[in-house]
Amino acid sequence: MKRKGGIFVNSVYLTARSITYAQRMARALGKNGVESRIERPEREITDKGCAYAVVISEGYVAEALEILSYNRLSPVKAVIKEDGEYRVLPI
Amino acid sequence: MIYLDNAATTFRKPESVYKAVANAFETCTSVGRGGYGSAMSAADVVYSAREKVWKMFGASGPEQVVFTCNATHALNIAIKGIAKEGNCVISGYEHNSVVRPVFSSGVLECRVATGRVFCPDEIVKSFERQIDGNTVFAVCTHMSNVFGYILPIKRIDEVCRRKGVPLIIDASQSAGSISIKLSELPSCVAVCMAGHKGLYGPQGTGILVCREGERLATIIEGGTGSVSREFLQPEFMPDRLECGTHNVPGIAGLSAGISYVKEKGEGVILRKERRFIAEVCRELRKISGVRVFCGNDVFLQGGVVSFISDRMSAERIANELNDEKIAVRSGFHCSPLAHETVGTQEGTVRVSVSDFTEENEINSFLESVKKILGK
Repeated sequence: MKRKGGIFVNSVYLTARSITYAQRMARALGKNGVESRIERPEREITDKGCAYAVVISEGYVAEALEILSYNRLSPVKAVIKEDGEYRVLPI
Repeated sequence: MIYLDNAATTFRKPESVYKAVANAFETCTSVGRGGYGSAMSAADVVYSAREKVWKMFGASGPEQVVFTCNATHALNIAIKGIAKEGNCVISGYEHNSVVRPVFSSGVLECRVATGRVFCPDEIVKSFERQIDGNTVFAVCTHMSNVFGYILPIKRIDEVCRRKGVPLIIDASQSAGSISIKLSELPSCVAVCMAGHKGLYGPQGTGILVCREGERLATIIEGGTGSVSREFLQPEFMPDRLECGTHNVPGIAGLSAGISYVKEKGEGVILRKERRFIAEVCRELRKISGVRVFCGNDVFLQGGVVSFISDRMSAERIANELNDEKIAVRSGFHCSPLAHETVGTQEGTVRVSVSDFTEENEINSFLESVKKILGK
C-alpha cells in the first residue's frame, strides 16, 4: 500500500464506508499487486460526510474492482478525477 | 514483590508491549479523524491489531473486532445489545461483569445453570434443562476467574445450537492460554475478553469479537469518523459498536502482547501455568485444615486456583502474604455467584499465574503459606 508520494496520471477514488474498510480494501489490493494509497477524499465525492478512499491509478480500475468484489469489499463508489473534475464510474 | 494475581491483570508484560505503548504515544494521534501521517499511523496500528484478533479468534473479518475499555465493557455491549423480552441463562460461574448487565438488560428472568466445580457433565445438563422456548440468549464463561475451572464451552455451544439460542462467551480468563474460535462455535454470537490478562496488553484494553450479521443494539453512540452527516450510529462494523477516540497506545501494546502469545504458543503458556497450579495444589493439600479447589483432570483447570483454611480467613491469609510481599487476591473476586455455586460463601484465597511466573516464586509462596498456616 502506498500512501504518500504516489503520483498517478489519473487517480480513481474508491470510497469506503470507514477507515477500517479502506484499510481492508488497500490490503486486498496490495496482496494482489495493485498499488494504492488511503486518503480523505474531498467533500464533492462523499455525500454522507467523513469518509476514506483508496486511491489507485486509472489503469487498474477493472482489476481492482474485481479483486474487491472477490473479497466482498466493494467500494461505496468509484470516482475518477480528470483535469480537476470528478466523474462517477459505473461499478 | 511476588505477583500471583494475574487473573486480575498480568503485571509483568513482554518487553515488546512497553515499547509498542511508548512508540504509539510518540507517533500516533487518533484513528479515522484525519488523513495526515500521525492519524494514519494510529489507523495502521489499530488495523494491525484488528487483523491479529480476527485470525486468533476466528472472526469472519477484521471489522468484526471491536476494541473496548475492558472485558466488562465488551460484555455490556454484547448482553445489552442482544437482550429482549424473555429469559436468559447464565452459568453459575459468572463474574459480576455478566450478572449485573444481565439484571439491568431488560430480560424478564435470569436462570442459572449450575453444576459442581470440575464436573462438566453437570453444567451441560443444567444448560440443557434451563434453556427453553423463551430463552433469548445464554452467557457462559470459558474459565472461572475464581477456580480456574474450564467450562465445556463447545458442549454448551452445541446445546445452544440445538435449541436455537445465541451464546455469549466470556473469555477473559482463557484468552491467551486456551484457543477459542468463533468459527468453531456455531451458536456463539460474541466472544468478550480482557486485553490486559492473558493477552498481555495494558490495563484499559478489552475486545469484543462479533459474529457477522449479528446486529447488536448500541449502548453508546458517538463519533466514528465515518458517515458523519448521519445522525444515527452507522450500521456497519466496527463503527456501529466502536465510537469515540481509541486507546491507541493501549491497542498498540495489546497488539504486541498478542504477537508474544502467538509466537510463544497458547498451549505452551497453558502447560507452564498448569504445572505451577498442580504444584500449588499438591503442596497446599498437605497443610492441615486447607481445602484446595482443583480438578482431578488436569484438562479442567487453567492457571488459577482457590483455597480456604479452617484456621484463618481468606482476607487474613492474603494480608499476611502481603506482609511477605506476596500478592494474591482474597474475597469474592467479583464473582459471588461462583461462590454460591461452590459453597464458598466466606470467599477464597486465589492464586493465579502467568507466563512470567517463575518456579522460585511458587516455592516462596508455598513456604510462606506453610509458615502462616502453621502458626
